[in-house]
Amino acid sequence: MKRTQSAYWAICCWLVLALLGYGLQPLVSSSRGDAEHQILLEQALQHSLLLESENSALFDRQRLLDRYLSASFAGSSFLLIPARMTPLLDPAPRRSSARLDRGSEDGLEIGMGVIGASGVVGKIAAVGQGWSRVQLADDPAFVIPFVDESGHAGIFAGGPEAGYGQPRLRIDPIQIKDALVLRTHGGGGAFPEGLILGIVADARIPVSDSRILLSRALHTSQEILVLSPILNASHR
Amino acid sequence: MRVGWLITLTLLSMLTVGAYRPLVVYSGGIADPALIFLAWLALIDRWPRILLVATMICLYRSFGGISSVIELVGPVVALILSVRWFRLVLDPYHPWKRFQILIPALLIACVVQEWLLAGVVPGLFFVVNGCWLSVLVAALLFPVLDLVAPLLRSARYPL
Repeated sequence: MKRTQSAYWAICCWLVLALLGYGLQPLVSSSRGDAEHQILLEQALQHSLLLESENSALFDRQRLLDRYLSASFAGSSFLLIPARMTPLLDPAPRRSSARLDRGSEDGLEIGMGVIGASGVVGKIAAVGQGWSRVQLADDPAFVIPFVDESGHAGIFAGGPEAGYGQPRLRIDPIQIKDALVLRTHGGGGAFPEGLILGIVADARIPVSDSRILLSRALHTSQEILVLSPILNASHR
Repeated sequence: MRVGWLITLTLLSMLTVGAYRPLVVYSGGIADPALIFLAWLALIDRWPRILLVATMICLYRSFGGISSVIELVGPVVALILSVRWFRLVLDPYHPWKRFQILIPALLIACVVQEWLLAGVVPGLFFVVNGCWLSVLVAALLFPVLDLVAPLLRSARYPL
């Protein structure tokens, strides 16, 4: 009887610890993320576009469309499909995903790029009727080519932590340094060239251990645009 | 096979994963309470019960997620097989030696997970971080699991 009572007490303690973890979660994630982000933003003040893009995270759908339609890439090779993104916790702790309110009925397909006011958000990973799943840019399986300010190319991969990515591979001899802004390369077909991907938060040796800070708006509910490639006759 | 408490404990371990998610992500999944619970079970319990818990963990993580089947099953299978293999040479009932089974098994599961997920083997820094966090989580979780063992009603658990 005593052993059974101990078992019940142990389960109660475990439950309390789990609930305590839920209670502490917002405190841990917000304080750490905000402090790091503030330092990096100060470092990146000279990159006015980055600052502007962070401030524009509250753009509504129409302003978001206007912003990208006025850019040189839009309209040429991508159809912009607006949608609402809602963040969610993927049941697998290492994965990072979100949900969209549009799906296959709007022509969304797996592999299409997703962008927000702050730049790259992710790629479509699953599609259904009226919904789709986005693999966010900090997911370890998210891989795209990038370029630095000088046009040197490399391969970006998400993770290992939430909100960060890492340069997986250097194609050209890139010198990774703190506060370096990385943009999309345009290769791969999911994203056009020149979109903001992230900023180097911690340059390390080897380069693949460096950390790239992604948009703070990545895990917030926001208006996004899905990039649907326009296939012309020469591409078919 | 009495599974009521087994299911409850599995759900509790998955609740713990959600609660300490930032820690689990930071450690690269090595300090995953659900996998630590599965490893504890795999140390001495019977195969049907181990497979039941493994299936529950995989099913839960597959619903509403973007993971493929192989990404979910691979690390779990690697963990169970590693634990069962290491217990051939180390005493799974020993309070300290079982950590020598657990940590390498979790490490193998993590390497398999990262390889399936990202296509790369995790770096040393990542592994070291994960190892000390997994030791910490296991050191907290194992005494609790030892206390709840009578509820599982299996002769495999020492009285």
